[in-house]
Amino acid sequence: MKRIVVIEDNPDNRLLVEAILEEHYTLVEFDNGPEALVQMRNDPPDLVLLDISLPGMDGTEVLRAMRSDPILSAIPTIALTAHAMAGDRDRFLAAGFDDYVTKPLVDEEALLGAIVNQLDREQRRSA
Amino acid sequence: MIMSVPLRTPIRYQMSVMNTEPPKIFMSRHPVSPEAMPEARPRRAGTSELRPVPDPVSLPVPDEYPCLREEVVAKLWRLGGEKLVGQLIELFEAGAPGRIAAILSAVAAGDGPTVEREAHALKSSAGNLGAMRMWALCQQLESRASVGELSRTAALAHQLESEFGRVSPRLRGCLKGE
Repeated sequence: MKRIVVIEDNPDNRLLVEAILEEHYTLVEFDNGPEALVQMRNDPPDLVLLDISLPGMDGTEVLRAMRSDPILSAIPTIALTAHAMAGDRDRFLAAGFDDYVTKPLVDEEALLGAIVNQLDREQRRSA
Repeated sequence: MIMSVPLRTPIRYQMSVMNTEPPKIFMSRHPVSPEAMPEARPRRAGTSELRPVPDPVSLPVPDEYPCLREEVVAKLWRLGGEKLVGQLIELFEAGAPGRIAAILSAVAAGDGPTVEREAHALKSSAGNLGAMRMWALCQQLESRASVGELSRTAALAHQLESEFGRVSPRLRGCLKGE
């Protein structure tokens, strides 16, 4: 089973992610970026779901740290965000995210679809 | 690391079972076309580069949203049963009063960043459960606070408090099958 790291500080969002994904993937969850970065360096996952509005080190900073780390730089990373305003998609992609999914996470298919796309792309790239 | 407690075997929800179309924000990962929206204003210094500055004209109008979109709860029920719905309601009810109190205090103190942060977090929890009017109120509060426009936020914060009082028993009613 592919391994996904979820970095999200809101417990209800983590609960929903678990409900949607636990049947399909092995999940490892963190509520903050610094701890996730340390653990991911030891055991890199196949994909990361990264909340933008984390307290302290926010999602953008976590992504920046990942992209500058040779061990973590190529891991597909999907932004989880409650921001659904004009131009958000372009901003997230320009920042280096591979995709983004808006919260609330009611659209189960959107989350699963984004993950499958990224894992497929990664598989094709490494084949 | 957070220990993940398995909930249950998820049941994938069936969109076809839905009687009412959910709002566009739930239907797409990219719900708003950039071309359809007014140009974003310059960002406030110190905010994340990924935090857009919204135009209040495009913000959701709370009164146009239902107190509770019951089909969202029904979807959650199909996804994770009573256990998931119960846990989400429990987390919502445990967290919301503190966040609303923090918003009220921050509004009184003119503390925009706290209003923005607390409203953002509460928006997510409310939206997860289909508490749409609360979601829209939080969106208004967050967006106004993000541009330092706190003039109408006191009324919105009090409306948010009242709305929580309305939606909370209805959510508990969903658990009892009412």
